Order: sequence, then C-alpha cells, then structure tokens
Amino acid sequence: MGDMGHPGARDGVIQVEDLSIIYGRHRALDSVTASFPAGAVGLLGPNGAGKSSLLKTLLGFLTPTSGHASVLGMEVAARPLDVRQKVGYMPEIDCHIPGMNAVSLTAYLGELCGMPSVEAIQRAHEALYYVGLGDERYRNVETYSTGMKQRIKLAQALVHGPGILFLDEPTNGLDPKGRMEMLALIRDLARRKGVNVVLSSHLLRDVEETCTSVVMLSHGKVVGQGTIEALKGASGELFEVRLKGSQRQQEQFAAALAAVGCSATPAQDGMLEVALTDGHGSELIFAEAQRADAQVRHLVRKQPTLEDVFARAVGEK
Amino acid sequence: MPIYDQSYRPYRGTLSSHSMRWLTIARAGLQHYLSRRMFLIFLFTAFIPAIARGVIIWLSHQTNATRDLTSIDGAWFRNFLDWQGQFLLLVCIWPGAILIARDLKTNAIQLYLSKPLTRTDYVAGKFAILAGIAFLLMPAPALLLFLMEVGLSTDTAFISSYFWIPFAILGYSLVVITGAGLLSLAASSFTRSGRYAGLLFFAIVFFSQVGGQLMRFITGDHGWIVLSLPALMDQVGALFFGGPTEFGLHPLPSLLMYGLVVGLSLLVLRRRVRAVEIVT
Repeated sequence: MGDMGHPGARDGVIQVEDLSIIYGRHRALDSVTASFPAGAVGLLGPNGAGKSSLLKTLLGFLTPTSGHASVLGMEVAARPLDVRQKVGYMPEIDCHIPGMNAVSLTAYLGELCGMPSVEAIQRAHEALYYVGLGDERYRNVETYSTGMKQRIKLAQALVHGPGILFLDEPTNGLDPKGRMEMLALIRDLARRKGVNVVLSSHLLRDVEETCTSVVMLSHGKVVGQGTIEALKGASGELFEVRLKGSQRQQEQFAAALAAVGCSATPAQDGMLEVALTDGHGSELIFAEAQRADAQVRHLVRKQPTLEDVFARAVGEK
Repeated sequence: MPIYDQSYRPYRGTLSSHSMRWLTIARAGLQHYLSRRMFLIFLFTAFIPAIARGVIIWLSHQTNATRDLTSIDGAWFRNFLDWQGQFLLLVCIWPGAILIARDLKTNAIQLYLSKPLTRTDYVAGKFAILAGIAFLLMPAPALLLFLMEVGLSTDTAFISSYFWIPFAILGYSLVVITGAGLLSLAASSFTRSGRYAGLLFFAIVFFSQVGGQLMRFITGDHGWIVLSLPALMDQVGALFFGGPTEFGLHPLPSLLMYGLVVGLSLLVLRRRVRAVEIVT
C-alpha cells in the first residue's frame, strides 16, 4: 500500500521517539523509538510488553514521562483531539454504551466525531454491514455474543472514516471462524480500503497473516522493527538438527555455537533448533559437531516464522 | 459472499466543530430518558405542585376571598422552588447517580474518550442531561407560574414590585442545580453500580444534615449548620429571594461551603473520569 495521502505518511504514519511511560515503579514503556509505516503494522509482544500502553499514549490517554509521539504528522501531546479525529480505536476490553442497539451506538459515536446525525446513521448502517452485523444491527448490544461485540467495536472505530485504525487484540475471544473473518476484514481494510492499521496482538500468527511490518516490544522496549520479510531474512538461517552424542556433547556443541553468536535450542523429538547468524553456513554445524565428537544425523533448513524472529529478538528459548 | 466484499468507503462529509460536541451527549441522554414511560410518569408527578399552584393563581384572580388567602410574592416562589428541590434530590439519585456509574460499569468512558472529546466535554454532556431534567422541574414551572400571574394581573403592580423574581428563580436554580448536579455526578463516578452511587449521594446529603444539626446542638453555635447541604440551599435561597433564613447566618460561610462542595465534586470528577484506570 502506498502513501495514503496523509501528512507524515512518507516518513511513517506514526513516529515515536524516546517515549517512556512510568506507573509508580513500573516502567511500562522504556525509551521506545519506533516508526510505523503506512499499511498494516503489527505491534507485537507478550502480555505486559507495553503494547496497550503505547496505543493509549498515541491516543493521548496517557501522558508520557519523557519523549514524544506523532500520528499522521500531528504531535499527540499538542493535538490529541485532532489525532483522535483521524484515528479509529478498537479497545481490547469489552465496552459498550448501555441501552443502545448497534445502529444507535455506532451512529451516536459517529456524531461524537462531529458527523451530522443523518450521515452518522447512514454510515453506521454501512459500517455494521461491512463488519457482518447487518442482520443483527437492531439488537441491543448488551445481548451480543463475544464475537459480535468484537465486530461492533470495529464498526464504531470505522464509522467516522479514520485514516488509521488502532486494533487492540481484535481476535480475543473469537472462535476460529470468527477469527478468520476478523483477520479478513483487517486485511481488506489495509490492502483494499486504504486504511492504515496498527494491529496490537500477542498472537504472532494473526500479525503474520495481516501485516507487512511489525514493531516488536518486550518489557516496554522495542526489540525489533521492520518489514516481516526483512526481519525473517535478517534473522539468518534456521536449521533443524539431530545430533548423535551424549548430553555433554550436545551442550558442548550448543556452547560452541553460542560463542560465535549463533544458538542451538532443544526442540521437539530430541531435535535441536539451530539459528545461524549472517555470515555462517551449515558447514559451521558440521564443524562444531565434529569438534564436540558428535554426529549430525539429521539436518533440514527451516523457513523462519515470525515466531522465530520474535523469539530471537527477545532472546527466548 | 465474503463479508469483506460489502462496501466501505472513507467519510468525506462535513464535521461539526469540536466545541459543541458535549451537546450530542446531552441530547442523546435527554432523548433516552424522555422516551421512558417511568420517567414521564415521574415528570408528571413533579409537575403536580406546579399545576396546583397554577390553580391557586387562577383562583386568586377569580375571587377576592381567595386572593386574600394567598400572597403571591418572592417568598411564595421561593417556597415553590424549595418544594421542587425534593424532586431535584430524587433526580440526582435517579438518573443522576447512574449517569457515569453505568459508563464505568460497561467501560463506555474509553469509547467516549477515544473519540475527539475531552473529559470536560464528557462531564459537561452528562451534567447537561441532569441540568436539562432539573430545568424542567424547577425554573421552567416557576417561570411559567410567574408569567401566569403577570398575564392574569389587571394592573402592573405585581410586575413593577416583583420584576426581579425571574432573575432570582434562574439564579437560585442555577446555583442549586449546579451544586446538586455536580455532587451527584461525583458520587456516580465513585462506583460502577448506579444503585450504590445513588445511595452514596443520598448518604452525603443525609449525613451532612445530621452532622450539621449535631454539631450545632453540641456546640450551640448556629454556624455549624453550613455543614448541612439542605440548610446550605436555604441560605442560598435567602440570598436570591431575600427574607429570613432559619438560623439568620451571614451568607459568606454558606457561599464558601457551596464553593467547597462544587470544587470537591469537580476534583473527584477530574480524578475519576479517565479513559484509562492506572493501578500502581
């Protein structure tokens, strides 16, 4: 997807510089510097990594302890209302306005964005049809299932035609079919409808299926960012290896690889997952196995997944 | 057909200015309550004293005998507003106390504030719902009664003597509705349960009355009565309509107390109405 015509799109639709958020003694975000390009960007990280805190800071809900952020070229701290005019936010938590059906709720929130009443109602119908709630749109939202509540949250985020969508764990609580449909909607929005999307999720597959770029957070810090393809390439080569040798020999092998910046971590069925950094090839595996007096019985090159990239970025085994 | 084949298009229409968006909250809230039968029954009940007083005004212009029985003056209108204040108290408990509590319960505040709205817009919108209802209960019928009296008068004696009454009605109502409304919203923002918020508001009013009277009884100093919110309203009434107060106090301590109630309510609202609850 190209430049969406929004200011700031050339350098990234969102720019975050040295952003820190501290709650008491807890550092939710620690000097985060990141650039979110146009299109669909995944905001990845385990629970508690700071994803939601970052989104809430970008919406102006939280005041950063230091640093600053801009969305579509607008400084968040200086123009939070202008930012929220251009942003659609789908919160992670279950939320609705009581006593309303889907049409009245979506139209009402559209009116709060400044849309005239008649147009807000028209847009509400369109958004609800788009997210697949067309037949259920006159039902009270309080009677909705979890999947329907996720869809209404997406509809209300879309109603005012935002330039960028913040989706916080949009597939939470969805069954497999609902999850597929939600991901299809997100892909469609980003690829065909020209909406920039920031998808915050701890589900790597969701991000891999919908996004072209990612920003990875762990313990409030950025541990990697870029296009998924580039990150997969930069993560070096990955091999599935079976060694014949004692436990001590396998440990010696792993230690030797670690000494040159590579890694060998135990995988399923007694296999080792060997990650080689750039500049090293499979001959390193044979050489270190020989040095450890072990035999290589199985060696298969693996296609790295986003999970591999993320695991390496956060240094997880 | 896959759901994503349904249409979605960017919005290219006009947008209203930000400054009046709190009105959207107020309008939606008023529409919601005015479409409820229970609420309409309550409103009708609250109009009965006004209807009764309207009948009194009408009768007083029919026969001299009735006219001698009732003196329609500032005290008469103040008495009417005091009476309507009971209904205001009820409105502050329901729906006043549920206005924010219900949004806290359903996490709706995050939805509101994710739109281009400030916390002030949100609170102003919620307050306007309460103030709109309170307007129907207090100043609106009082002003109608005043107009009725003026309309039925055969001379200008009444209007020339009491031209200040509409201003007093509006001023007194504004002060009372602002104080009670903000206190009700502050109570509402304390809990996710509308019921508890209503109880909290009632408890504040009740115990302030008990506390004020108790302190006055113990110390023998009438000044302690300013702790009582109902007595405070009596003082405010005296300020606008003239006439005696129950304890003959100077209005300054009452005004300070009123300012304290409003200030504390705003402080509570500022702390409690947030898009994000931060637990450290």
